[in-house]
Amino acid sequence: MEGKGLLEQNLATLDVRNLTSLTPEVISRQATINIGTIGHVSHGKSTLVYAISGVKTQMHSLERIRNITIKLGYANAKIYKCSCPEPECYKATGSDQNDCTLCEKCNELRQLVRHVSFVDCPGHDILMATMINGAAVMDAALLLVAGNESCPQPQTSEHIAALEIMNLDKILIIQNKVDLIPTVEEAKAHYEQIKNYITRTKAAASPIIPISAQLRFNINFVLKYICSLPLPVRDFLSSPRLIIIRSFDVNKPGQEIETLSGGVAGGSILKGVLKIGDEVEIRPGIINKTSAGATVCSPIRSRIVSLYAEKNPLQYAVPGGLVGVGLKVDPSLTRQDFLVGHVLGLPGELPQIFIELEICVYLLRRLLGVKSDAGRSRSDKIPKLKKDECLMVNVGSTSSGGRVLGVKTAKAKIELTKPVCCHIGEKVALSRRVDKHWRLIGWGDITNGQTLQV
Amino acid sequence: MIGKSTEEWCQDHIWKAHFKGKVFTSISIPLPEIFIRFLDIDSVVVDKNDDDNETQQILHSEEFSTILSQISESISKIGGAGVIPRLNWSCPKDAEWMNSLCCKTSREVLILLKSSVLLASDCELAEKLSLPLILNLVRYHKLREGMLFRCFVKEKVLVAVSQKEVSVCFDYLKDIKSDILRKCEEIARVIIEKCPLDNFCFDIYVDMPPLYRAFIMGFNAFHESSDSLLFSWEEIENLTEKTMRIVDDQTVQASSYSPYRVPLEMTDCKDFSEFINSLPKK
Repeated sequence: MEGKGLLEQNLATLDVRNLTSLTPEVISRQATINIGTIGHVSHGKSTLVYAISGVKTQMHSLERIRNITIKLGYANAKIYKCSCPEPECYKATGSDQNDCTLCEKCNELRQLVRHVSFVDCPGHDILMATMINGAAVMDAALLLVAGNESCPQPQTSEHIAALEIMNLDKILIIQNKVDLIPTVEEAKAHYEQIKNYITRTKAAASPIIPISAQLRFNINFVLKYICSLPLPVRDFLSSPRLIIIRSFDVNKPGQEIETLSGGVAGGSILKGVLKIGDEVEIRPGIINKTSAGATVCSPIRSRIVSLYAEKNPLQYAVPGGLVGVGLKVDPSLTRQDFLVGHVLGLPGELPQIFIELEICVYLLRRLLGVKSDAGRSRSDKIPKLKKDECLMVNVGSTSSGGRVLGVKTAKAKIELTKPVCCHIGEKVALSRRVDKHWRLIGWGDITNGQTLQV
Repeated sequence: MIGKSTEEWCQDHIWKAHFKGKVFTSISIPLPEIFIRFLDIDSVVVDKNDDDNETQQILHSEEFSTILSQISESISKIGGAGVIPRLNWSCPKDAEWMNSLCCKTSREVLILLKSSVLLASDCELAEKLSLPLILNLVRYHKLREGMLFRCFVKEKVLVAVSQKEVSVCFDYLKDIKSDILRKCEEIARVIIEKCPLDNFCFDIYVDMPPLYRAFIMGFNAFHESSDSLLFSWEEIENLTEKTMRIVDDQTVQASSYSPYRVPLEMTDCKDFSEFINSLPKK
């Protein structure tokens, strides 16, 4: 296998019952722990992640929509420990680093102890999917607070509240930019300010570490905290399930047919283990309309020919971070994110495909928080669902359009614009186009629906 | 501030006229007031029924039916797999979750126009600048996303080229980088001659080797509100020699369009906790 200095993975000897989030052959190549970085964009999140992993996560603002900042934010880091005293014994590098390095101070080989994925922005669709499906997307969170601004900053309280509701209690509070605080007394005072603030929240027991991400000061205390976290419990034994959030065609234009590489799907493994050679199915797959206007779909059957996490090739992949899956499938099927929102798993073990849903609806009374544009006198009250209106429906791991076919008291029948893989009993999020944006208007439970035969 | 002359040039129906043979086939349809009003009304309804509201009045009107016929005829005329409905400046790529970008019917065009946040922004801008709102139906082609590039022209000189799809690594690009750069320079010369602006960005699609035929996809202002992709605007301002950048990190990343697939409440940090609060309790 390529990947100099990384541990070999051997499919022949793999026993998934023995896998943990610390299995050496796994963490040599793939992150198994997801750590959310939370905090206002100006508080130094990307600088901290860069200081730890050496990876620059990029920020973009799309044309003409200046208030949405998209951070492409998976950055992975390996954490090593040597025999030096704590916390100097901890060192972090990027994912593809050679596992066997010597510490010049204590003359001992460094041990790889953790491989983590810093999740700044997991992809909103994944976040939504995991929220409505109840799975945790983060194992712990680093909450950054700028040392040179008084605490609490307006967003700090929102962030702690959000973490509370997500049942995330492993929080490390980072007092960043201490190099910008003029005196030691002020730094201490700010520290006390943070401490006072959190006593009244669920984050009361969280440690607070003063650092300077810019100057790489005290970063090893952050690493020490990460290594002290209890290991997340993962399901390695269930039938594998991957949510696809990207798909692409990596063949160069003009490539001869005989040498074409298959399409690639990228996503997050929710449970189970994927292996090279696995025969897999992707649902819903290829969607077509008959001449009569009916929707038909054909799930895609294929075989996994390659797996990778960041730059590291894998023989098998476990839940953690984002992985790329190379498939023996016509690459035009994966071009341009065509498979986004589809699910990948073993044949016969994927949920049914629905084209119509019956939902028990809970409408919110008013639109949440974000105010409509000034100058428009719109009430924030939410009108009932009306027939023929097309909503945004977040269901399963995907978003689809949904046309309201009928409403009776709290139940609605919705025709999906694209078939979706999901289960009865799952939750959905419903949004309506209000004043140039898609606004959440309610939630629902799937009670019934029409499935497509495949 | 982006000057009006820049915004005017960047409109599809304006710049396309100058580059015949180097653009995808398209038909432009000016949209009347009634259509603009239709797009502005909250909630996406494109089907006729007997509700008594403004949307239904418009859908039932003769003027609206005429426009829909025009759209249907244009779709037939353009042929191929279908059309992408753009407005003056933008493509409704953010609304792909609602309907495929490739539209075969006028109903699909309507649904995309009403569902796209990016197109709503076009409507706003056209109104602000008192420019007519124009629907551009562009022939749909399945493209290789690795072959889309944005070129930055400063003081009538090409200074930078960036891969447009910034979240995916296409390994093959590193072998053909110089061929592509040469193509960008070639097209830039043609464009600079015809374009009245000194500073601007243009997007191109480069087709198969060995010809590497280039198609001009759009123009944007040389301004921080335009996405500088693999550069920062500061870098572009200070470049001393022509630079081309492609993505070399293979790590799977979320799509730039993922924020558009969820309600606004989930992308606006300020209200994230209120959003989570609204989640029905288990």
